Amino acid sequence: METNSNAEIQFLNIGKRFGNVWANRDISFSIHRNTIHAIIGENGAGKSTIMKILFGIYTADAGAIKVNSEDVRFSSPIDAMKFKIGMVHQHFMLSPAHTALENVLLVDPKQNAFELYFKKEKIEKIKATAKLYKFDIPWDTPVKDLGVGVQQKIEILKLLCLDNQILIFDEPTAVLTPHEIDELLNQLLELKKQGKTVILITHKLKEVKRIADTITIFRKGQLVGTYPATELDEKEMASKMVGKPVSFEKRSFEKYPDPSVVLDLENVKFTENNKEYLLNFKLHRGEILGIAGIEGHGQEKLIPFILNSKRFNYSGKITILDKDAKSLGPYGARDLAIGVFPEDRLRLGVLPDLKAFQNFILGYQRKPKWFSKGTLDWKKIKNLTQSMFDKFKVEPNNINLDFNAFSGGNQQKIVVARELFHDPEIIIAAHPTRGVDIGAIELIHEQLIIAQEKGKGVLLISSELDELLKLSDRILVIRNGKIIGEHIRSGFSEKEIGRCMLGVVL
Amino acid sequence: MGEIDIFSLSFILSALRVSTPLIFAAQAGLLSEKSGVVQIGLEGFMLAGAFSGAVFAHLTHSSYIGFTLAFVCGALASLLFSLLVVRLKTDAIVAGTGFNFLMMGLIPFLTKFIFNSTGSTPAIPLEQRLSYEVTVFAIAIVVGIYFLISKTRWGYWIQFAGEYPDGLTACGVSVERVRWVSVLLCGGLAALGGASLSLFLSSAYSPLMTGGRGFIALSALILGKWKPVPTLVGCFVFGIFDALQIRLQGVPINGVIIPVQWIQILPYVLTIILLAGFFGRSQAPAFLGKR
Amino acid sequence: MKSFFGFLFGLACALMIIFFAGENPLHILEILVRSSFGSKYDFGLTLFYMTSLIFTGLSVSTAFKSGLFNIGAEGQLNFSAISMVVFATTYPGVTFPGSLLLILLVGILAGAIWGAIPGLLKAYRGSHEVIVTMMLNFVSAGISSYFISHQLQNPDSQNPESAVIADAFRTNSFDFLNKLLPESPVNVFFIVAILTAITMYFFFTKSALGFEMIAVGENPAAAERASISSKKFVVLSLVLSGVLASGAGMNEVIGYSGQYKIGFSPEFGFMGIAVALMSNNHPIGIVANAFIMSVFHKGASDLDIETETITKDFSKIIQAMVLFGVGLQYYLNKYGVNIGWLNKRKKFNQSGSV
Repeated sequence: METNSNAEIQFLNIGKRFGNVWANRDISFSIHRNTIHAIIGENGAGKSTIMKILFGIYTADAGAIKVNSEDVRFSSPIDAMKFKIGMVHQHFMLSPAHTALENVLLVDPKQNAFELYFKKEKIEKIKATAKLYKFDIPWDTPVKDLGVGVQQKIEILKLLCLDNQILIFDEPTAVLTPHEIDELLNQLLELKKQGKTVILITHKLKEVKRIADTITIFRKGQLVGTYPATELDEKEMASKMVGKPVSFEKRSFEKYPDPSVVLDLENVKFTENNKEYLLNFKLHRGEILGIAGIEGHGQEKLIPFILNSKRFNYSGKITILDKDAKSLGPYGARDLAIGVFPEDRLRLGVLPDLKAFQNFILGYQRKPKWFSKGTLDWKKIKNLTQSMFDKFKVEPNNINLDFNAFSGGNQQKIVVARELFHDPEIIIAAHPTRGVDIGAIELIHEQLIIAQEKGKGVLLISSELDELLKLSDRILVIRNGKIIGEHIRSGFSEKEIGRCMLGVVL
Repeated sequence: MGEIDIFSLSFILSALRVSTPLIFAAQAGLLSEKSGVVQIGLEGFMLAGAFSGAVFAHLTHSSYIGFTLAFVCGALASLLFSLLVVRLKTDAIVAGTGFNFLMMGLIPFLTKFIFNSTGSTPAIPLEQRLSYEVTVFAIAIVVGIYFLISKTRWGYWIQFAGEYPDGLTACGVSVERVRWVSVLLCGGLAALGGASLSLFLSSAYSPLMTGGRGFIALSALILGKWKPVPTLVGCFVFGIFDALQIRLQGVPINGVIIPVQWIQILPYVLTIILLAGFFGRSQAPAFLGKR
Repeated sequence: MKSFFGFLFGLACALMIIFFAGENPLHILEILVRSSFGSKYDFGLTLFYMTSLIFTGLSVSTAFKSGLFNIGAEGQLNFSAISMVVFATTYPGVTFPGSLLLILLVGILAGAIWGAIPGLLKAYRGSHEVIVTMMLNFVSAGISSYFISHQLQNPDSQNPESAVIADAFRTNSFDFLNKLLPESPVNVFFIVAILTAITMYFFFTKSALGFEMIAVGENPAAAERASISSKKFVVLSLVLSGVLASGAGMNEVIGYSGQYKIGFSPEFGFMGIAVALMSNNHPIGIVANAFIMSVFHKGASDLDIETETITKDFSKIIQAMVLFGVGLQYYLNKYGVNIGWLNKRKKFNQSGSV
């Protein structure tokens, strides 16, 4: 165990339990002053938990924390702030209705209820700090009208205004565009130059490699180890995160003999929220067509548009399984043989508080298989759900549990089982493995490949380029609502696709 | 307009008079809702204030003491509401409905217990009735709340508690504490609204004397888009309706008698129309009623 | 069943108040029971209240099922009642059985309209249904007060009430249930209420429409994806809710008094909230809890006479305590499994804690 007397922060045998599950168990490591310390791990590995303990949001059930060799026990963020520790949360702690300045003014070491809110000297100090770190912030604009990049700067500024020494960043790049990521990483280096200690929670290994001095790896609530950044390459980091060697292998590629078209968007054009969309592509039988792009560039509109184009005022033509979308009923393509893995499972795909078997018919509740004369045949539904649970190895194997009671991976398995049950000709899989554990990822990828081999058309929308490279026959890049590039499997180049996503003209 | 001159001093004074309870209650609701706590218990708080104000004014022979103690009683009653809603996270609509019921049930019980009457309190002498100083005080409260909400740090705590509570927590301020205090002041102020009914508009408590004014105050708050001064204007408007309705009882205008009921329901209809966004959308605090 | 603890908790609190007022809670309970079951008339009156509470309980719970809070059952039953009386007074010549059919239709339609207003405003204008239904309660009270004071006042009465409508619009002449408990107000609508509850049970457990309605309440965005129009179901659910509430109006006007009396409903609509929450929105539970609440309500009316300190308004205290108790369920079950609607709302909105 590492016990370093000149460490700024020391974690000693920290444990944290939620119910019967240990989110952190016996965690010991130290963080040194004036370094960039990355904390990496898969979803649910416990990396956020340990930082929330440091910041006083959670209290540890076991172990101790020392800050500058002093024993501390934080029961709320207020305590942590006294030790000059600040945190930039994944969801920004900003009130959308208030201006940037009002949001920054809310932080205050004293928090005296009866003072005036807009004090001249305070405002000047804030603006001076912003200048020092080269933050350009429109002070009087409500936060809801600002981009995420600016919002993040406001968050960082809030911490700097409190003269924090230790800055924790929780997945700061998840919401940023590549350009903004670049800017942020430079700013983190700048913070280090000014003497701050930066703790970076992330699962993006490239960023870690680029700026971190030290790396601590978590797996399943336990510490794997702490390493100097120079000692590990990305592949080693990944294997240590997952606990077994990770194959970045691509699937064997077999072209389906009959490339007829199942989904055809011909010069589709529409405008939503002042953003113009231009979609033009064909999905063939027996192919996996990947859609790459930075989040928020229009892929989120793709599914609602294909499913029910009637709600959009569009020009051009969309043909689904040889039917003009204009000829479809009020529910659009939902009546056709299309399976959808929704982009946001809990929000768009399921009824979290209902039972698993009730979720199994959502969207298919009026299929003649179990629906006749207005009523549902629950007995049959339960039997069919059970058979799919067995086939997809859902754990726990109990169809009477609430959907919420399943882990992310098993939830996604249930959704995949439901969407594939009706043997769809087209499968639209959006971020199919987001928040899903490794075992389920493999099962889901396998199912997509099986569908492809059976001659179905698979549209794969993902923000993980690795996933797209592994599975796709073709990759289209979407940027600003427009399809701007096509890449064929034989000529895949990660670099080139990445540049295309950024809009760099080749 | 026949015999009713709505620009006459006496009419304006009577409109001011009847809007006084609304002003207190609407500002009370504003404090609670700004901090993110849905407040449909205003009616209950007003009942509590009307009753306790009348009781204490009777017992101490001083309406001023009665008025002050009404604030205290309203604030105390709010502790129960806060315990349920702020601390124990009971649904504020369920708790607010229950709270109104509780006051409707508890007060007759207390009058029978204390005065052995069927729901009313003994009247105070006419010369002890409060006068327009109450209205002046109410308007002063509006100015105070305006200043509190938009100029002070505390006011911004309240705003953030209603708009983005997580942000407030992250800055080291307890959202729960801010809400407790807001609801406490809400209870006290709404009770003052009630007390101005029993000590200013009349001279005793009579059963269910608030007659839905708690809900009218809520309407004024919505109409005023959760801002202190426009809410005050909303209260005046409803006060004018109320005064008009009293004057129009049986008085023909151009030979037609306008039924008072049509004027009585006007505030409610206006609120529905406003909520439907027909005069621009009303902006409720973003986290109102969410946790 | 978990809601039952909330109910017991509320009841215990209410009895504690009795205790502090110097009465023996057991004595009060005894009065309540005697008052509710003491005679055929008393029992009939209890069942009469129960009828209205089943309707309003079903009304509130149907809205809850699709994620809506209808606190306007009071206004809906009221609007339905006054509409029926206005109709029957305007067309007194319609003959049986068409008369009965038409007045039922008018009642249903009125309830549907009073539910459709908040439904449409919610679905298409985004207005919050709680405020709209609350405001509509007052509007409907104002409308009925207008009709009674300006058009329909019963000349033979000092009370604010309408004249009695023609017999052709009423069920008294063939009401077998009423004959079993003569003189008491209980009537055939008691049976209608029970049948409605059973129908609602099957509607929510067996029908695809019911499943879709629940889906909208659980997760409107996911329902929308599953080809279920959440707007349509918001309207449908509040219309249905209004129609169910109108049953309480029919119970009074068609089944019992044949007239509109101001204040005929001791806030059945609000009592329905307590009934629905106590029952976790289960239609059969609603029948049981409507019975419990009607016992308290009926019993409380005799407390005035039988005790020194307790008044008939005691029923309000009980309702308040039950609402608090049932509302607290969420806290009591914080780490437990699903306890129905209340719990669900919280899960979707949980963001107060970091």
